[in-house]
Amino acid sequence: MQPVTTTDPKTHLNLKQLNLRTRNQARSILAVESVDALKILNRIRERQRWQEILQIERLLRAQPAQDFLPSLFPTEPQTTENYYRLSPISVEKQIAILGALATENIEKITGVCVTLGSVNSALAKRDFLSAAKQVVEMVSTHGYSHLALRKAALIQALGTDDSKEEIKPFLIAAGIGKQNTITSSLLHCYQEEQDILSLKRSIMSLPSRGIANKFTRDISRLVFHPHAKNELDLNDLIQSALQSSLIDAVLLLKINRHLAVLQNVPASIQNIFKILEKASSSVEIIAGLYQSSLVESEGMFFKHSSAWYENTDIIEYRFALDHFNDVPEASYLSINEEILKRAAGWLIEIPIRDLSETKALSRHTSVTLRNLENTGFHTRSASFNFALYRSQGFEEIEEANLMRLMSKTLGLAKTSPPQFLRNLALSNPTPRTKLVLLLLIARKSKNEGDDYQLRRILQQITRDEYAGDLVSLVRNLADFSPAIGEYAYDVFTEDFIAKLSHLIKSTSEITETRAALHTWMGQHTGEKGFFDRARTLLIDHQINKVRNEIDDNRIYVDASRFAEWINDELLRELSQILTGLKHKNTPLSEEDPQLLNLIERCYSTFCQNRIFGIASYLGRRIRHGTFKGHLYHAVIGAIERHPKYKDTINEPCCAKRWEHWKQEYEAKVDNMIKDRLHVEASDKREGFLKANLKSTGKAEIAIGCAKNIVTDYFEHNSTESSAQLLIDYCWRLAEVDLRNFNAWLKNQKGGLINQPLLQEIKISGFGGTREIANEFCRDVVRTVDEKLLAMSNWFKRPSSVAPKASMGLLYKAVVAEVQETYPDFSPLADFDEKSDIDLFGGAYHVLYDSFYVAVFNAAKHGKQDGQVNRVFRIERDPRRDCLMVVVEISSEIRDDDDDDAVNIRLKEHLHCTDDIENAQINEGRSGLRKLYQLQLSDKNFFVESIKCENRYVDVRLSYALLY
Amino acid sequence: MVHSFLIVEDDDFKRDRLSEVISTCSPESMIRSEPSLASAIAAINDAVYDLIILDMAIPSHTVTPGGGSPISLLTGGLEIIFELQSLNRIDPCVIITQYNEIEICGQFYPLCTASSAIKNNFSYNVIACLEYSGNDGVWIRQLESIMEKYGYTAS
Repeated sequence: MQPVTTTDPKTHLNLKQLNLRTRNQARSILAVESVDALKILNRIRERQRWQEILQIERLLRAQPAQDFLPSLFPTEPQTTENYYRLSPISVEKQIAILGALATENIEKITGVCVTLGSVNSALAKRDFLSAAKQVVEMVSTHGYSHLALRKAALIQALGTDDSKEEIKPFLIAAGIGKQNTITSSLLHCYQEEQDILSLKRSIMSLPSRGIANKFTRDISRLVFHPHAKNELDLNDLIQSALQSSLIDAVLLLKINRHLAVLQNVPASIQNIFKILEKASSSVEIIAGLYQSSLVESEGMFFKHSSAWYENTDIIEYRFALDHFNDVPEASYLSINEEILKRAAGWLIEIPIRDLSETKALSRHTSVTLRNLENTGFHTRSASFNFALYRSQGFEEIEEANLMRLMSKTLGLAKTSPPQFLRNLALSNPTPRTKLVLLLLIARKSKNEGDDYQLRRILQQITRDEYAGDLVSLVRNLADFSPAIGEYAYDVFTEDFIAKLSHLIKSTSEITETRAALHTWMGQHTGEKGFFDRARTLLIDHQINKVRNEIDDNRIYVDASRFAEWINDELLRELSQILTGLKHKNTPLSEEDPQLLNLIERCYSTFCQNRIFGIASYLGRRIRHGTFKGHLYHAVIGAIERHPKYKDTINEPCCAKRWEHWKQEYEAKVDNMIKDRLHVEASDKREGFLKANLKSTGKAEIAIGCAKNIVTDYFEHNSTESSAQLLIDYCWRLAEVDLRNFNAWLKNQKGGLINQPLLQEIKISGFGGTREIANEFCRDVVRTVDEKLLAMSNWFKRPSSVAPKASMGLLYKAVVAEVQETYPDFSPLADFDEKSDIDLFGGAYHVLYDSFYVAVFNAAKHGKQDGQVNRVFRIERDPRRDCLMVVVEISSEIRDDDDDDAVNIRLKEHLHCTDDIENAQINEGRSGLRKLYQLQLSDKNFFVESIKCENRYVDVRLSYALLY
Repeated sequence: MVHSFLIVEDDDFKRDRLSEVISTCSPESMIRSEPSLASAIAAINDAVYDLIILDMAIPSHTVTPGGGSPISLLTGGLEIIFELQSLNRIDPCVIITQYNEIEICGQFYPLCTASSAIKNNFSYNVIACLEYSGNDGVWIRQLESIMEKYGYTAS
């Protein structure tokens, strides 16, 4: 604030109304720089009565430019931290000031409410253009408010194109294109596809920068959880709301009437409550904006309901649902008797056993809202948790009722308190009831015992009733309740299945079971993606079989915990960035620095988190003892215990040298552990895992990740797949370091083995023959070399978590599969691993299938023992302006065939294109038309040509690469 | 008397060293070693043991050529304890790990307090949680003293 003169008549008049001491202080505020003024003002707020504070505020608000108090009816949207945060005053003082301000500004507030009424009437008639115009009018005439912004967001969500165009300048002014947290989180909340609970959690846990972002944190939460937890919280919220606008502050009091301190709200404010109520539409009309026959309508009604806080019914609806459809451990929640009592004013107290069938869940009289509640899930879910809190889980429910209830609720695994679910499980002895309730507990509970109880009962039921077939159990659960089936599919990940020791006896069964679950989910939902995932897993399985190697990978990340972290910590920011990009309509902004920064933070946590990140596995599975145990103790033990050497090694002529060699070797191994087996940090500069994007290779991968996330968001208008994409790409980034370390480790033999000293041992004769001494040295070198090679296997990406395969290996796996049908078919399939092309991402199953078609046809129709050649290369395709992997497979034709005849047959076959879409069904995986079906289903796959030339059938295929 | 011991450990070098220490203390003993959770669960369901030596971070399944990679279970040792509990068994257990902390219910406990954390959270008595530190070390004396206390050493 610039110092001002106090000789201005209006200022002078305001000053005169203060007592002498305060007047002098007020003069000082006006005369000094902002920082000093802030100190004086805060002192006044702390010590003076509310009347003096109000007077000072009047004085300040009358100043043309100051940084402490915005206008009560601001001309500009208040969505950024434009003002110094004043120190808090008692809530009583705050409310008294608010009462006085309401009295002084009653005409203006009434004006806002009249326009608000017009907006609401237009919305009720679905006249969105008129509503948009009225909102614009409301802001230009009566000033900005968050209330107006919420109405604008509602129009943006429900409105027609012309109404959206009308409201756009207001949203731009509010910061829609500038990734403003307040505006973007509001718009996200109102979007159809958005997971509201995840978004709420990320907004409610916005990182605190103290008073520097207190306003943003408070105002952003208004659409998610406007209810104050206690007086302190209310105080903060009022102060922030008043910084937004006077009407927002009054509305906030209306919402929070449950707090005792608000029992004595000044009459002036109570009067405004009534005016607001009058301007409001009824809940019946609001609910009428949504089609009650659609299952998602209640969710939309709930998401948009913050646009109607002027309505008391909506406030009560939100109070009940916001408290009982949220994670119970949230710091802003404290479910106590008072909360239960107020919620009981909206929700009917229904025992859990009756909840699945009850039609009347809440006490309102709106028929339309009741219909929404009965087709949707939100209120019934809140009712379940409400009942659970009341009974603490000590009640009975029949198995069938529970199953039905699970199909009519959502998110209980996140929102139900585990301790009461546990009680409910104990109160209900049937195995299936227990199974369902333990399923709900499993994901949330950090107690390993809960997880074990679930697996125990699951294995018991699967063994006793489904002959050990987990998929049959899931199928059967889904018959009772699709929601339970789907939820079980979510819980039964590879990590979970791996611990079902009574059912799953080998590693390959983990893959097969998860693949079968993907296939079931594909059949259940009709979504192709699940079949693709199943196919990818099975191809991995086939590849492993072909490799026939020991796969003792020890680098891992707990994907479900990491995904949870992404949802809690990154989702909001990611949504904000993506909304901004979408608003600017810049789909090719994959190099957006903020997005890349977010990916880097994500990758950093992926590497460094000590509970679920690579660092935790690196520490517990490799660094502590294991690495040294293998590379030092196991090597030395093997040599020293070897019958050939165990006696001679301790003879005086070489014992000293051998001890010396061991000491040096141990020191080198210790150094490797101390220096390399870490995530790089300031005190671990040589740590092999670099938790950043500072290399060309990683930067390219990060850009690929950004591009993929942006494209996915633009296609689906949701961040639902973002977590999975981030996990996939984090593995790709990690693989850059893993590959480097792997190569480094394999090359450590020379550095580890002190050859001159070994030579000395050799020359010393080793207490035996020269031959034994030579063998000894050879064995030492070989043992170290073998260990290094075996241990390098620890440092790679686990194949189960993110699909990856080399072209050569895919081809080899295909040949092995075709040989199961044609055992005599034996084309060369060996390949050089070093020069092979690696493919990442689930889509490689398309190439596998296309190889299968080409190779199977060669085996079936080609010359027996004839040549089958293949070429893989990467080239830029100028037509499509992208990199392509090009595949050429050529196979010799039979001696009794000729090029023309084969070409005619190929043409006949391929020109029957009328039923390409069903080629999969009609032709299995071998028919050539299947290639065209693959082309239809995957826009990146191209059949370039299929022809016979010079006695070879040449199949030329290509696949577009992301980077 | 012949005592039976189960060692749940995937690293050969550590398993061999544990076997050596046990055999030295109790030469007549029967020692069964299992390298993964699945095989250890089977072993527990096969027989009762006088002492079970558990590693905490173990693979889900035994590694086989061409079988793919098992899942790394950082708290796999706890699964064995739960299994014993569900079978109403009280086989004495000692956790011997190379990591100096154990994760229990999302928190890390130093080895000196991990036994009581297991007792408090899961009501199972684990005799001790020891830090394996190579071929020689305090852990050997601690294990020997436990074996002596329980009467497993040759008299």
